[in-house]
Order: sequence, then structure tokens, then C-alpha cells
Amino acid sequence: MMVKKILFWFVVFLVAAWFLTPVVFIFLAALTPAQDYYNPHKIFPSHFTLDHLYKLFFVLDGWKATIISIEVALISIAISFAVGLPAGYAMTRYKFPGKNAIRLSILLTRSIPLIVLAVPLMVIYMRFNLADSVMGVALAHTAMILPFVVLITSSIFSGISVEYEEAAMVFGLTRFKAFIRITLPLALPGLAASAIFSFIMSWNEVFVASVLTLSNRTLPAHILNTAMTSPDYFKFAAGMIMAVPAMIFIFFTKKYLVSMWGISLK
Amino acid sequence: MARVKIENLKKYFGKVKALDGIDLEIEDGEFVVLLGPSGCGKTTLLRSISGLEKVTEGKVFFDDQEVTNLPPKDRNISMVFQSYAVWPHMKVADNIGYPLKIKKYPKDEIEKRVKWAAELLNISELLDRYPAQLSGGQRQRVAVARAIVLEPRVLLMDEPLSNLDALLRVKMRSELKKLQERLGVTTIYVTHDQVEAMTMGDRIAVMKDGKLQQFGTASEIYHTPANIFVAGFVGSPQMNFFRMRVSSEGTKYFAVGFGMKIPLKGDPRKDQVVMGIRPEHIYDQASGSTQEVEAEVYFVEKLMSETIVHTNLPEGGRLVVKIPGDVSFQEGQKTKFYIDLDKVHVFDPETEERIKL
Amino acid sequence: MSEAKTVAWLLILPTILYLAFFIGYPLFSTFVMALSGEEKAFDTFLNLFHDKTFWDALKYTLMLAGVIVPVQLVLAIALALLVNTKFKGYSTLLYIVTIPLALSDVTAALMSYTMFSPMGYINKFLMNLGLISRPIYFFGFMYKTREFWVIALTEIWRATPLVFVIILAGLQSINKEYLEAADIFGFTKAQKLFKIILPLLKPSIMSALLMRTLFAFQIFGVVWMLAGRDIPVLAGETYYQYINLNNPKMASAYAMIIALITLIISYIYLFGLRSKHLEEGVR
Repeated sequence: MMVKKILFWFVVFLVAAWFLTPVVFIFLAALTPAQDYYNPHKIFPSHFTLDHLYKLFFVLDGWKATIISIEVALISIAISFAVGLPAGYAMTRYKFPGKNAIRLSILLTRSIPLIVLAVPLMVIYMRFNLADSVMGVALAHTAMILPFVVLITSSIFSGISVEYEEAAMVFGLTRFKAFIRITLPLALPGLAASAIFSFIMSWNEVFVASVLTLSNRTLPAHILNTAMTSPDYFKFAAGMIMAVPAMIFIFFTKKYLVSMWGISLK
Repeated sequence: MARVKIENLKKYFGKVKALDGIDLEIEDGEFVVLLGPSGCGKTTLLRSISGLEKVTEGKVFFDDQEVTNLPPKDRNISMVFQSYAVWPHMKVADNIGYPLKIKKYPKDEIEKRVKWAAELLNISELLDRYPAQLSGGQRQRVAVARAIVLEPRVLLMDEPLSNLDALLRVKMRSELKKLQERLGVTTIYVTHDQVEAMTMGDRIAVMKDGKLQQFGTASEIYHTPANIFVAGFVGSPQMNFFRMRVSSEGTKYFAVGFGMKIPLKGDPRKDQVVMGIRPEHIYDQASGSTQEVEAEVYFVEKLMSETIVHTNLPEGGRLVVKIPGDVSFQEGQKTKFYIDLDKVHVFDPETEERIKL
Repeated sequence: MSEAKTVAWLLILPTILYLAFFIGYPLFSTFVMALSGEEKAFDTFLNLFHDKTFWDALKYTLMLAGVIVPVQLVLAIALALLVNTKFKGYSTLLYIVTIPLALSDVTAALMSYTMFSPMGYINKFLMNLGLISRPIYFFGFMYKTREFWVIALTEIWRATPLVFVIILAGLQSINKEYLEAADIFGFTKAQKLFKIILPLLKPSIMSALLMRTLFAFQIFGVVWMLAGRDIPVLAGETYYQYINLNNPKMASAYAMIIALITLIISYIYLFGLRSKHLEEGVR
């Protein structure tokens, strides 16, 4: 019994260590002074430094790329929710012919590699003067996020009994007002969580962002193309900058984690 | 088949005492119903007997073998679940036969037994189907067939009829009871439905708050309920309760209040008592030893086969009366009713226990 | 009634138009671009098929998928079973396991680089323990095999949680009474796993497998960051053709191949490997 218990916790520890070690060490590496990093006998640095982070941000244009990443993500979220929320609502609350076909084709768009889309999009963008622009990347990221938003909002709305809305309509609200006053507030926590997930999807996307832009690159695209030619410790600093916000966001949506990823990956 | 003996069984979930010292002895081949409101611990008791739940304290015996710490698979029991738990990825025949296969029965023996169980439950033509193709009632039959095919020492059932529609439930009630009688398997059956309990159980264990309230035949539970809870839980509409003063005239004792004066059969040794009178023991005509009471009709439920009259007593309090047949009453009308004095119940207002007179 | 249908269509229309324009049209023009060769149609594809790099890319993509997907599936099922025992503190473990979900492939590659680079922590630990005197090189075109395994390991680290959450969600949706019934009827732990849990998990396993296989054929970030073109993969070549060689036609041809493989895999999973018991009745 005792042996079994020790073995169990050993396995748990092993799993946690397996997933945490790389994260911990990239943080360590990002904060290690250059001379300590290149000293093979120093695993743990003599002191921590914010030098690499500072230089990456302000010398290597990381700051600009971070701002662009945030802009792109926010614009994508705004558009995809504005477009996708009504669709998600219609998918749960209305019955109409062709509904299943639409659901299936929305699902299928998720399996089309973005790589396939990036090149022709660039050709279109040249024509509309969207090449190398924040808006251009945001529109492409919206295409990636939108199917997720439709599916997830439809699942959130279906979790809210239609009777709340019908009750409001019986008491004199229009369907639209009933949605705004009753359903939307109830759905808010779930919607917030899915917005955070959308943010992470956009924040992490690198391929489309690097194809579509040259000077206005998002953070991962910037790192993929610029920082890779820089010394190692800048790479680690870059990794840390990209990891921290994502990890914090994930922490706040812990409650929704399993169900949301379950849906987003279906 | 086995006797089941439960000794001082306790099960705590953190601070919640789901079972708070249960003692129960079940005879070989007996059909025992665990009855009580939701949260009374009846399901926990069943699961403790099955081994699905580890008990905090106490012992469980099958015949003379202690099984308290045995895992379910070594107890030689079987169970019918509330959701039936008929495995959706196995055909009906496999659902019934798989437990035998695990116990390493030879193939022809498995086939023979599956056929036997399927015939017993009238599902022979369904053996080749998947559960998704069956109705709720058919799935229920599969679950029962699977449970009896092993010839278990004890058969456990956890509200097996609660997911069926009303008509089917009545039909299955008698079928299950007949089946159990035929097999003679010791059966423990959990339900919150008193009709199921009364019609099926050889004996009924009424539970509340993790404690056993009374264990007896349907007749005992109905005619001599051990306390106010049992008296109120069994019977429909619910028993009328009145807290009344005790007065004595020489050697005669009376319960007085609400405009009634009910003679008692002995000295309750209390200043006050709770009188319990079932609605069906109040009549609209005097007979034998009855006590008249006048009340104002407040509301009438006409079920045609019987009439339930809700009345207000002159000194406050409400009296519910059940009269057989379709009888007319006017709301607001003052009417005389007659309480059957042989069938009144007397309870201690503090301990809520029955007072024997 | 028909008014409701109109409303529904109006609500959905923007989404359809958006996806048609930003996914449908590009997909179509990739198709057109790839097929319009220099002189005649299929030129580009003929060139592609004569290119050794293409076959290498296809080979490495298939090999990576072949290693990554099965390992991830087994690990994810084991992890999901572990977390689903709901032991004390399981939610903390759940969070730790899902951290890689929030990380991009670029970040994951950087983390892997932290561990495996010549001055990385694995080399540092081994040298400090005196097990080696000079760093082991994991990267560089001379060490393709090592690169391959580091990439596989990184992808397993990064994307096992993806499979894990799908499996866990499936596991949590299994009616507990199915498992209790197995306990009652004498199943051993192994029988319970193989005869009850895994068959009931089949739909989740299928969708996780489908998802992972599709993503495996799109593998790019980790490979590009860690090995560049030492280990060519299909998506990497698409990127290389477009960005470095400025050859959109060839890039489109690569993209088409990926799209085609995606289509074939989806088809196989969706129509070839369905669960029989789910198909024959209403769920």
C-alpha cells in the first residue's frame, strides 16, 4: 500500500517535472548574464539580469513587435466576435435547412492548413494595399479564429436555457433585447474565456504573420526572422516574453480549459 | 443466495454523515426495500453493501463471511443501476454474457445462461442489437438479465424504475417482484417511491439522515409507524398531525385540542402528545367507535375513485380527509366527519417516537 | 416560420461570406496557381516530383508523424487516466500539463533549444557531473538523426497536452455507472481499461488522432527553428519556396500537397474508422 502510494506520487512528480522543466530553464536562461551562460560550469547564474529582456525590447524592436501582436490579436477578436457571435447564436437557437452542412463546413475549415492560405492571401493583399499591414494580419487571424468563435459561442449559448429568453419575451422584450439583457450577461464568463483563447491563438500564430508582413511583424514572426540570427540569450529572452502572457491567460481560464480545448480541437 | 448482516455501519463524507450507524439483518431470499427521501443515505448504504463505497466504520457480512473490505468483484453480487449502465459498445448478448466470460465459464455454458436470462426477461429477439437501438424499458430488461445471469448471492438495485414512464413502471414492478420470487435471490432495492416499497418489499427499511428509522413489513410500517417521520413519509395523502394537550378524567385519558377530544387507550405519561390520523381513517358516516368532528370544507380534490377533502377545524388547524368514491362537497360547507378511534397514532412530541398504549 | 429562417440565415451570412473570402477563395487560387505551370498545366507538379527535396520533405514529414502521433496518444491516455483519478492536487497537475497548450511552436522550440543547445542545460548538467568533457552536439546538419529525435521529443512535449485534453474531456463524459458496473461484474483493472474505457473513448481517441495527424502534416515552427532545412518538411518547404526563393507557384504546389494529404486523412478517419455502436443507433 505504502509502496504503491510512493510510486503514485513519484509518477505525478515525474509528469509535473517533464512539463515544467523546459519552462523553468528558459526563464533561468533568459535571466542569466551572458558570461555565466557561456561558462559551462555555471548552471545557476551568480546573479540575475534583465539585460537581455531590456535589449530585446528596446534595441531589437521587440517592443514594437509586442505592440503589433497585441493590436493584431485585439482586432481579430473584435472582428471574429462581431461576425461570429450572431452565427453562433443562430446555430443553437434556430432550426433551418442546411444547418448541419454549415456546421460541418465550419468544422472543416479548421483542418485546412493556414500555410495553404497565406500565399494567395498575400496576392490579394497586394491588390488591396493590405500587404505588410497590421490589419492584413488581423484579417487573416480572424479567418483562423472565426470558426472557433462560432462553435464555442454556439456551445455556450446552448448551455443557457432558451426558457430564460422566452420568459423575457413573454414579459414584453423583443428577441434582440431579450438576448442583450438576459442571455448575453449569462454567457459573459464563457465568452470572456473564449476571447482569451482567441487571443492566445493569434498571439502564437507565426506562419501567416511572417508571410504577410515584412516590417510590421508580430512578436513570434519577428523572433522567427530576426532574433534567430542573434546570440542565444536573446532567443531565450524572446521565448520568455512569448510564454509569460500565454501562461497567465491560461491560468485565469483554468476552469474552462478542458471543455474549451475540447471544442476548439473538434 | 445469502443472508446479509450489517453492523453499526458508518460512512462519512468529510463532515457529512451519510450513514450514521446502521444495523440491519436481511434473511436469505428476502426482498428488502431501502426507502427514504433523497439524501437519506439509502443509496450510500446500497453502495457500501456492493463494495463500491468504502465504509468509515462497521461491518458487512454475507452469511458468516465478512466482506467489509472486499472489492465488489470478490463479493459475488450483482447490481442494476439507475441509468442501467448497459455498456453501449457491446451487443445485448455480450452485455449479458461478458460477466460470465470474465468468470471463465465455458462458451456453451455462457450461451445457455444468456439464453435462459433473455427468455426470462422476454428479450430473446434483442440479443443481436446494440443498446442504442433499444427503448428505455428494453435496456432496463437487459440490465436485469445481466444482473441475474451470474446467480449472485445478493442482487442490488438502485432506483431501477425511476427512469421509466409511469405505465411501464407499474408493469415492471410486478414483473421484477415475480422474477425475484422465482429466483429466490436475496434482493436489496433502493427507492424513494413508497408505492414501489409497499408493493415489492417483503420488508421495508425506512431511512432518514443516515439513520434507520424502522425496519418491518409493509403492514407494520403502515399500521404501527415507529415515529412521526415514518408515519408522515408512508401513506398518501400524508397523515394529519395535531399537537394536543392530555387531560384525564379519573382513569380515562383524552387528547384535547383543535375542537376535538380524542379518548386514549391508556396513560401516555405526557402533558402533550402528537396525534396522528390518516386521512383514510376519517369517514363521512359514524360507525363502530368513531369520534365526531365538525370542519369547514376548504378545498376538494376529486379523483373519482376517491375524494380528498381539505378542511379547516374550528379552532385552527387543517384536517385532510379521504372518502372513497365520488362524493360531492361544497367549499365553505360545514360538515361532520368521524375519526376512527382504533386507528389513531400517538407520538411523543419531544422524541417523536410512537407511544404504545 | 420562414421569417425565423430568414433571420437565422442573416445571422450566419457574415460568417459564411468571411470564410468564403478568406478561406474559400485563397484555397481556390492556391489550386489554380499550383496547376498553372510555366508552359502547360502540371508543370509545377512535374518539377516538384523530380525534386529530391520534395521526397525528402515528404519522407521526414511522414516519419515525424509516425513517431509523434502514436507516442502522444499513449502518453495522453495514460496522463488522462492519471488526472481523472481526481487525487488531491490533481487540478494543479492539470494546469501544469496544459501549460504547453498556451505556447506557440516557436516558443516550444526555443525551450527545447535551451535544453539541447551546446551550452544548454543538458550539456551543462552532464559536464558538471563529469560524465562528458565536451558538449554533445544535438544540432547541425552533421547530426541529422539527433536533430530528428530532438524535434520529435519537442513536438511530443508541446502537443501531447492537446491530445490529453480531448481524451480527458471524453473520459469525464463517460457515465460513471458503466465503470461501476464493470467493478460489480468482476472486471479486473486491465479488463476495465481495454473492454470498457477504451471502447467508450473511441470517439474521443478518433477525433484526437485526426486532429493530431492533420497538425503533424503541418509541422513547421519547431523544425524550422531547431533544424532549419537540415530536416526538410512539407510546410517548411512551402515557407522556404515562398519567402526565400520567391517562388509562389512552387509554394502553392507544396501547399496543395499538404491540403491533399489533409483531405485524404480526414476522409479515412471520418468514413473509414467510425464506431459501429454509435453509427447504428441514436446516441
